Amino acid sequence: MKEEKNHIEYSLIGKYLEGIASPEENMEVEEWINQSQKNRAEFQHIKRIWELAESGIPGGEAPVNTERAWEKLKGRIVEKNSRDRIVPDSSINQARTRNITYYVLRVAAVIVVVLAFYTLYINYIKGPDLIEVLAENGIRETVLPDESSVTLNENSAITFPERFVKDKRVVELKGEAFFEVKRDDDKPFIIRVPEAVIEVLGTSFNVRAIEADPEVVVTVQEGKVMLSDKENIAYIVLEKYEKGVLNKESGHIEKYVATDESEMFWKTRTLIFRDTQLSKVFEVLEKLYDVKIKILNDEIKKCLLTAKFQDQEIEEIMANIAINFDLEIQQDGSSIEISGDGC
Amino acid sequence: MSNIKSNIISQLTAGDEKAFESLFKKHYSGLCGYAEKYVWDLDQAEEIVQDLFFNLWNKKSSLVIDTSIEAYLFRAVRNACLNYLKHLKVRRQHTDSVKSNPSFDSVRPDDPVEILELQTKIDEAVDTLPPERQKIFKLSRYEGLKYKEIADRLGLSVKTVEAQMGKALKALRENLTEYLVILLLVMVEIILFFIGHE
Repeated sequence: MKEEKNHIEYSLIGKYLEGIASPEENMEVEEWINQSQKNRAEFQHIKRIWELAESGIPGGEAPVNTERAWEKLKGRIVEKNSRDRIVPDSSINQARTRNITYYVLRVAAVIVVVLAFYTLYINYIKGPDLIEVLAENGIRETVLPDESSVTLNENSAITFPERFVKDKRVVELKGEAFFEVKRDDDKPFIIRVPEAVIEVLGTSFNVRAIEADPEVVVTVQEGKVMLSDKENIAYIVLEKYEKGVLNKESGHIEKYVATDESEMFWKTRTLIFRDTQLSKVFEVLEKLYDVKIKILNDEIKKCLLTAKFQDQEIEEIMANIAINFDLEIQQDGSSIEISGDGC
Repeated sequence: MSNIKSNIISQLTAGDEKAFESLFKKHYSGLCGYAEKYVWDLDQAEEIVQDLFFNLWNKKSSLVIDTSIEAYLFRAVRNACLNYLKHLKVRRQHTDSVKSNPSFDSVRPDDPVEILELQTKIDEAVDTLPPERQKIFKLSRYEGLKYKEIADRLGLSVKTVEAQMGKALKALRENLTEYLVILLLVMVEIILFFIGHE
């Protein structure tokens, strides 16, 4: 059996597509492509970028009359130029009537423009008054004008208009919050944080965008959520039990399966694990309950836990795990030691 | 070579009508052919290209073009086609009484809008590459230059061009993965459709 080769230099693929690779290099690329479905897909992606980025040198010229087209264009340009200038008229009377009409029209135009700007100002620039809800020393719940509900974690704030006027529901978030968005297919719900944009139609999910964190984390509990960087260049679509992580520095976005829902613990007080390795479970517990867990046998780390704990103390949770996997627990204040045969 | 190209652009921005006329006559039929590939209607294609030149002349003094004029024109036609097709789609949706449920990955397999949008996405992603890499990538793909020609023009080794192109491709792929996946799915769907109807 041949050795698996997952990695390839992209410069080699470039040469391959450019058609300047040596026979050996061509073979290397082709071998890599045929290695796996994944490699093939990767190659297809690169090839499409390569082809679609081309200026598309025209396949053929269209059977058009260039001379006539040029005359037509010239006519349009000349016509525009004369419209831009004020054309003097030979007849004075006609000019006067024209002038009066012209002034009336001008005044009317000014009024229309002023009114338009005023409406624009009220609706879009000044907009409806903005409301900011702050959660300083504890969790706080608030309801938005569209009846979506938001639970803010400590030290977080949300800003939203007193009513959503445009075709989008846009809010701004600082910190962390759990959203239950009311479905409205015509008005997507958009959350802006400094580094990212999250867009949904209606669903519940958690957004963690804390200033000091290197990442923005979105965890979906229900429905579909789109996470993109603020320029909207890269985005991913997240579904139930998926977690999107955007690295603030690189702008890179990655998708994970959320094996636990510890991100939402602050709101739900509920821990859910689905086939989660105990090493990961303990990591989560250490963070949430501020304890130190020492595992005396590495075999223990391999155990897979599926469980739901609601509003339980760390002692209860540990006892439950111990019974499940036949482990022994020694607790001394905030430090916990675990022994046993493991899995 | 690059001097001749930038000459045309500077003549244009200076308002040289003769240069504008020869530019129009040189590219008109080619651009129409290009637009027709997307809009499938030669009259419409001609209208799009004429509008493009009309606008080009009107805003000639404020033009910013960092590629060759040819690459610029083809991209502008592409954008105009995309706008036109989108507009058409909106109109079609208005006349359709059936209200479709919008969703992030609802795609129409028979739709050149998908292709054009992806091309636009690629262009945007290219603009986020570091300047030198961007220049090399644009010379290769937008201008159709060979690696050797790029190396000569920029005073680099061919090896450097190869490496930079590799890095550019890598960054673009990472940037565009999601989009490409959708597009590939669409292609698979089309293939399955044809197989199913044979």
